[in-house]
Amino acid sequence: MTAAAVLEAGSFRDPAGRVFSAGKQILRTVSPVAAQQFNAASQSGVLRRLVDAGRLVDFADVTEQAASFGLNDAEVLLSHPRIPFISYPYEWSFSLHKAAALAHLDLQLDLLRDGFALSDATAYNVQFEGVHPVFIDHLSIRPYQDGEIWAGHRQFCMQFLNPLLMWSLLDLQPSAWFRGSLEGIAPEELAKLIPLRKRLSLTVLTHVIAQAAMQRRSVNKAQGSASYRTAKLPRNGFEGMLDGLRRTIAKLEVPSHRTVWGDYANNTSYSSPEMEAKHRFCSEMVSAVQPDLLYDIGCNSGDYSLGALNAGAKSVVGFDFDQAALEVAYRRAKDASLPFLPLWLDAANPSPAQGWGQAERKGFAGRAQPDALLALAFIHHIAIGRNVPLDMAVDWIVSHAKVGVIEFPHKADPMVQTLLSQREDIFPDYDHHNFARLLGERARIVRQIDVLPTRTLYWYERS
Amino acid sequence: MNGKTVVSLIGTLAMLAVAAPAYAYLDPSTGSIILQATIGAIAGATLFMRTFLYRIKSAIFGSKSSTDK
Repeated sequence: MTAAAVLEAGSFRDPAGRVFSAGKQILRTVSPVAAQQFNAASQSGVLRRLVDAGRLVDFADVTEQAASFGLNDAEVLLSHPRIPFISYPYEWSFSLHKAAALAHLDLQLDLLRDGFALSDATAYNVQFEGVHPVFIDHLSIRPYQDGEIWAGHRQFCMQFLNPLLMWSLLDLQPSAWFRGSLEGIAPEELAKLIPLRKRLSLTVLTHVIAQAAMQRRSVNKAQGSASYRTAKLPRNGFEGMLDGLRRTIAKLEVPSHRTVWGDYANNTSYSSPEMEAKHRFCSEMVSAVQPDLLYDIGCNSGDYSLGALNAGAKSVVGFDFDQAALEVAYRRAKDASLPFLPLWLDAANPSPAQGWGQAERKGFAGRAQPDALLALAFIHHIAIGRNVPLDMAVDWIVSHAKVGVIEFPHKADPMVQTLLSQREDIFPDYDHHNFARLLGERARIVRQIDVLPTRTLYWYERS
Repeated sequence: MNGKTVVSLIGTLAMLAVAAPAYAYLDPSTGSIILQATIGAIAGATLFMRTFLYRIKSAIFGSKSSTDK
């Protein structure tokens, strides 16, 4: 029996095809108008080479099954494996965003050598397996026409270059802006923020300042881009632009992240009896559940995410608010090629469902179905740091997975006392007996353990 | 020559360079097109020089990997 094909709401922009979710598979229809270009790319062997190199998500031609899914209009029907977690650029750390940008440029450069080009430069077409970037849109790859302009140039600037420049030049995290402006950050906007002394780079001068000036001028003259449609970019110029951007982006780093690496190296060998007890407890839960996907909410630099992988979790998505911790987590995942993706999350204000029809980009809740979760040294940040009543905080955490381990730092714990040091204690409900009662009303407490006199871990399981 | 004249001149030059339009669903926008028509040649020349210099360096000092990931 075939699962029903459900349209993915984010796949409407390019009329070349649509994406559907059907049980464990992802389906992609190729419209008659795009089939010729897809067949050219497919028959050339370029798509298969990219899949084999782990740079393009795998695909199989299942056109003969089109009728069974009710997708009769498809000229070609493709089936893809499901990526464990779809993430968006406003959830990426600096290093993830940079890796995605470099992967996009490398793909363009390599495709060009094979006579192909990308029809766009949207960052939403890059996803991550672990922290390894993978391109997901097979229909963006089409034959290159000699002398054609780089149609995705402005989009590349808005979704890759400008957020990275903002982060690197201004030490300003672009996530909130990007999340509010799904097309990215326009050169005209970024140009206003960059001080004179930081403009003295060829990349900033051309791709940001000059492009902004030309764009503003064309808008002021009310001249549409139609009259410029015939513009030409010689192939070596195209390659030169891609190569120049690649060199610039490869060197970008965030000033405030620089000290992180040193601190990380000094801290990794540290381990306490408390941490060992936590590791053992979490490992027992993970070994029992054997999750395909585990969320580590408040993952920090990924200590317990890595522990979960060692205990048998197939993939882990970690979430944290601290960008410096996420950078360390990224490095650990990358160095050991782990199926661990650390993402940025403000748990008190997670990514909403937004874009066209408020469905184009999915919200945090329900984006994936993790089989288990960890929420260690986390709940006090929302219950006390953000005033979320304890029952609502428990509701939120257990809503994401049926099984998990939650750490409850008691009010007397130094972590909690630090949060309370600057404010009045208006949290009479924040109490470990009350927490155990609230959790017990929502789930069965499988086991619990005091890893310190002021910290208790609960393994819960709900129906 | 003021800034506006320069931009107009660049725009006109960009329009003079003609090629067949490719199938595209994305609006590339005017600022980007003028920029590409302007810096495309410079970027191409830079890449050519870089490759040329790299080859000379390799010939003299032996080849080294130039990846910077």
